[in-house]
Amino acid sequence: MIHSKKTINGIDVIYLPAKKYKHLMLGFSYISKANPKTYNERNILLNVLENHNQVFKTDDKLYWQLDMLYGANFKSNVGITGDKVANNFSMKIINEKYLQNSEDLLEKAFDFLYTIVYKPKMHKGLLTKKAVNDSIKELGQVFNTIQQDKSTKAFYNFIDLVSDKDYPVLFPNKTYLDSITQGSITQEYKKMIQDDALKIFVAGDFDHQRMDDLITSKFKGYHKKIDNHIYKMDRLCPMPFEVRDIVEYDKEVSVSRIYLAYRINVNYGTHDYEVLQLLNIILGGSSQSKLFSEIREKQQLVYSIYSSYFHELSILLINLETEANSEEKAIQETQKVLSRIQEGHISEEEIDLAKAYLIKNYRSSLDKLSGMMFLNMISHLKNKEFFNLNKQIEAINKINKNDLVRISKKLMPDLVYRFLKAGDLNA
Amino acid sequence: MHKFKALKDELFYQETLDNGLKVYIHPKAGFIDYYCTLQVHMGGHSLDYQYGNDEFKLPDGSAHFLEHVYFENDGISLMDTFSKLNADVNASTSRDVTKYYFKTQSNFIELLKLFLTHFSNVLINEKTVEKERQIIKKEIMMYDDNLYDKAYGDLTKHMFQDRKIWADIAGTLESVNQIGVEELQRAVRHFYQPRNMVLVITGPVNKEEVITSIKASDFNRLKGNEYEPKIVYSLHGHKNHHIFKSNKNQDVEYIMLGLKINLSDFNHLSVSQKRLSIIMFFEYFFDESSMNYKELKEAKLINYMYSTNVYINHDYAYFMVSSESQNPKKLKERLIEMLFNLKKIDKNIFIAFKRSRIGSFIGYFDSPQSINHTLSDFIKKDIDIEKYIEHVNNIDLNDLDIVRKSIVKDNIYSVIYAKK
Repeated sequence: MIHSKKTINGIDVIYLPAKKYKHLMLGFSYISKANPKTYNERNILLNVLENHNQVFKTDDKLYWQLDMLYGANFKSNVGITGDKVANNFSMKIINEKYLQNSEDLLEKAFDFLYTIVYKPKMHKGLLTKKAVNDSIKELGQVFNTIQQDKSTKAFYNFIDLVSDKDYPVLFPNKTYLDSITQGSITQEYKKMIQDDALKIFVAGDFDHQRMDDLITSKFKGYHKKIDNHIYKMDRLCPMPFEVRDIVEYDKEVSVSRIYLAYRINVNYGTHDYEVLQLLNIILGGSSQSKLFSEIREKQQLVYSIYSSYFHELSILLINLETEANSEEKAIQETQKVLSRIQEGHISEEEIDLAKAYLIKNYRSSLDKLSGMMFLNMISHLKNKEFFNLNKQIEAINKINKNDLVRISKKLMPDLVYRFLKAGDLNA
Repeated sequence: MHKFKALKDELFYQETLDNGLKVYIHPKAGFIDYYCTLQVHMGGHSLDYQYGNDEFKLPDGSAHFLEHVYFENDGISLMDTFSKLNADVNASTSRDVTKYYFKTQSNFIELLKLFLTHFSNVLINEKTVEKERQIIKKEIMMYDDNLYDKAYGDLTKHMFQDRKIWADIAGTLESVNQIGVEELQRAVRHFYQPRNMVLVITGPVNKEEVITSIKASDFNRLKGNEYEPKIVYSLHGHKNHHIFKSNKNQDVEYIMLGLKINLSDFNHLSVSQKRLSIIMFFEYFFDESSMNYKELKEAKLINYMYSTNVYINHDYAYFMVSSESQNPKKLKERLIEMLFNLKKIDKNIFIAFKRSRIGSFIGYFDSPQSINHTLSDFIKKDIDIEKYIEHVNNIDLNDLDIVRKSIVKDNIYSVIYAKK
């Protein structure tokens, strides 16, 4: 079945037809230029829109509606890539051909999504004070929970240390917390529905004409804003002059959590980008990776170890969880694993296995309705194209050992962050 | 093979081999992933049991330890073998079962043969046991600083004196030291016999090819033993129902409240209907869509960490509700008050719940992995997948109201973690 794209009333509409699923998915994606000062507001909006609606005046009414739609699932999130930010709202709903009676579920789901986004409770042109205050209060609670869950706390603190304060990826963003007001959240909401570029995604087995008609009638007043901004897909970071070594203590921690950050600037969609993804798999991105085999299995220095590449932060991170008296050795041995890769110690077998693993993961994701939907949403956010598996496989298969060694040498150590139990011997 | 249908286009095939292994096959044409699970009825609760005329004990964490050891099998790592063929393999241990599962996009029959051969003959030696012991000890320590896990452990310990119900699935640092070759070999003889296991396969398979491969494998030559292990629970709770712990180093305050449920009140219902009645009852009154939730939120007694959980086993069941709270004592009082003053169930909301259940069930069929998990789970719980939608449709309000009989002071327990 062929994916298609069209424009209806100025809205980009992307259809991802697939007959084999029992569900359908609908998604609204609002895209604009990211602003660090209002990143908090973009995230808070999700809570405000879901929990303070004109039609679903209370949570129980909202949930009752979802239950009546045979357990329809509603999700929202904020994604950031390059200098673009996207507020995404999606619904997953049963295909009514599996029910005894026809119930226009698709129309109802579309209506639900539209109602959530376009009909929040307002008073004198502002999102209500209650909505805003409840959401800000919940933000405070989020901070407390982050503090309590030590694994989350360690990760949050680490990301905060490697983030550019003018380019937020972390929510809540502490720098601009005090500037959140009823006015700023309302302003961001109005900007989202009036100025942002809207894309609508539909995936599953559905009647395209019926969908066209729904969108046309619901969004007949929609006017697409001309957006002349040339979006960047990447954020290039300055390379570190020295390696920071930061230790934080907490009395309630039972294991040492360590993060190593390596800076690397790579542009999305380039050969080097694909090489870095593959390098990550070989280094620590699977249970056959060098870090897992060497540090966990062979030397038993850690319970868990993995690596991950964050394009938005221009870092590759390595996370280790270990006992206090194994920390230093675990860090040194981890660094040695990377050094050996930089010296060229990668076998062709390791490369082939990692390629097969990466390709398999893409195929697996595409085999799921939600995976197919989200891969295409991300792909459209980044470069306005459908996710192309064959092109992706070709890009992966082109990679050779020299590429991997070359990219590995570009990794610049930036930070060693240790989150330890207060009173640890090695601190 | 016995054939049954869960939805109009979803067929299952079942066959029990001569040695007792139950095989379930669910062909899903058009999908890419093949998924296979071997489920062994041994879990965190397998600590003391009857086998024939004798009683045996195992240290806490034995099932989980065995899971680790099976992966290694005298130096032949399941993970290494499968990774070379680009398949993912993993395992998990819960309170009542251990599952070994693999996923692949190619070479399914070859991998199935390897998988079954691996489990046909496990060699347990001191070297492997010692290596896994060290890994498990590290794993145990990783979860030591999770407040919510601690609260859950404390609460279940007081609700049920029988440690089979609450002992840590991974064990403790002390209990893991007590697990040796002898204990593990005995556990294999008693629990890892074919009739105590189930094999579930989903994906774009040819069912005839699959069953032929299974019958030709070493696994089919395994013999069952004379007996099956039997686990008997004592459901008595602690005299002290309500625990209060303070720790000035905590960043949040937390409360978890539990209610034991008398399963004997439901004996006239099928397993599905019993489970559905209990789950839907508590969803109605304490889920995030409920009036009680709304009231607690407006009273600022709970926050977004609010959660509920219903656990139903063949022999015991309980409901738990928990949240971070500015005033955990007041929240506890309010929750107990709510339990004793539950209103009549609104028929329209009940209908919505039923529809939601049906929708969720249909949705499981959207991937080989999710239907494999669902089917394995249904088998473990004795739920009839063929009649599931019918059972949901036939549930009525009277069935749900049976739960009210369990709401007595003696069945209520709580744990509060406060700052001071």
